[in-house]
Amino acid sequence: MLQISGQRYAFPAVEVEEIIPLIPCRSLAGVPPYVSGLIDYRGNAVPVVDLGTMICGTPCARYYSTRILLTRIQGNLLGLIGEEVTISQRWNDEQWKPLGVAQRQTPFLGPVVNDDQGFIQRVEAALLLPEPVRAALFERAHS
Amino acid sequence: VSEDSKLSRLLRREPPAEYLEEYARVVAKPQVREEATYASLFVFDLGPERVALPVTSLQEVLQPPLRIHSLPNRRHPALLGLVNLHGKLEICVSLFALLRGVSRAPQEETRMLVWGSNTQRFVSPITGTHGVVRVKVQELQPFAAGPTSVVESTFVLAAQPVGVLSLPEVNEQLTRVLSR
Repeated sequence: MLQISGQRYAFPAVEVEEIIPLIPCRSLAGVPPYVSGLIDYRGNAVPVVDLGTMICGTPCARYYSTRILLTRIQGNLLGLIGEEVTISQRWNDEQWKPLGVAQRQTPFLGPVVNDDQGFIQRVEAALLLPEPVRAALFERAHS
Repeated sequence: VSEDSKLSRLLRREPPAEYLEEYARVVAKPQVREEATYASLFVFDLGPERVALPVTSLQEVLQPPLRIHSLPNRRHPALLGLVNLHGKLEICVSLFALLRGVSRAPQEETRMLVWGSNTQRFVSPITGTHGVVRVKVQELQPFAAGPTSVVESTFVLAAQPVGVLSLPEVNEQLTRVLSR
């Protein structure tokens, strides 16, 4: 579970390789603003995306509870910054309902579940980065 | 206020730069995967001898010890008799006898160990327990005191040597004792 601007989102735990604090990123030129930069993760340069900037245009706050989730997209490591990464929760597949609203700007935001505090939307890692950005980032990280 | 929101309030603070820099160094280091394999051993005393058996062979530790019904025609120091374990008769054998050749350790036997496999289990008096330890297989020193030794290896626990009993050898010796 993570939050962006007070809204709750979920990221599948099986796709998370490790969760680390928001360590300083080395910034990159010529990338979309939601790309915070690169971190040195186990000796590899790994691009990091700020979900705050990506989803609502405001970077995530620099708190203890703001963390980097390390995931893999097509085999490439990618860091995702989210706020309030403090708990995990379990839902059945059938509890997720399609949103029913077209989200052309944010195709990576998937179905929703709701509980007594409102909606939680799922972040789909596979759809996270537009193809050109993905190609540029991972080529950069490998070189 | 729920515990969850207390926690998230506590974590809604900016961490010091040194903390993040330190963490960045930790994350940059390659992850070292431990290659060692471990043996889980149950350590116990047979009088002066401190020995261990694989924890997988351990079924139960009974305290106080059960009453042993001796067999009138017993001919081997390792065969102590029969015990009534949860309403079933089980064979009581002396592991001490396999080490030292005499039935009983000089110390008082305070517990009984139920050990063995699903097909054959034994009950053995012991004089003390030291719990389960995980030992790196590389740290087990082979022990060769002779072809019939029931001790296959040794390791050191709290500055004291522990003999690891060889289950196949113990079973073989007990089979011989019982078939006499």
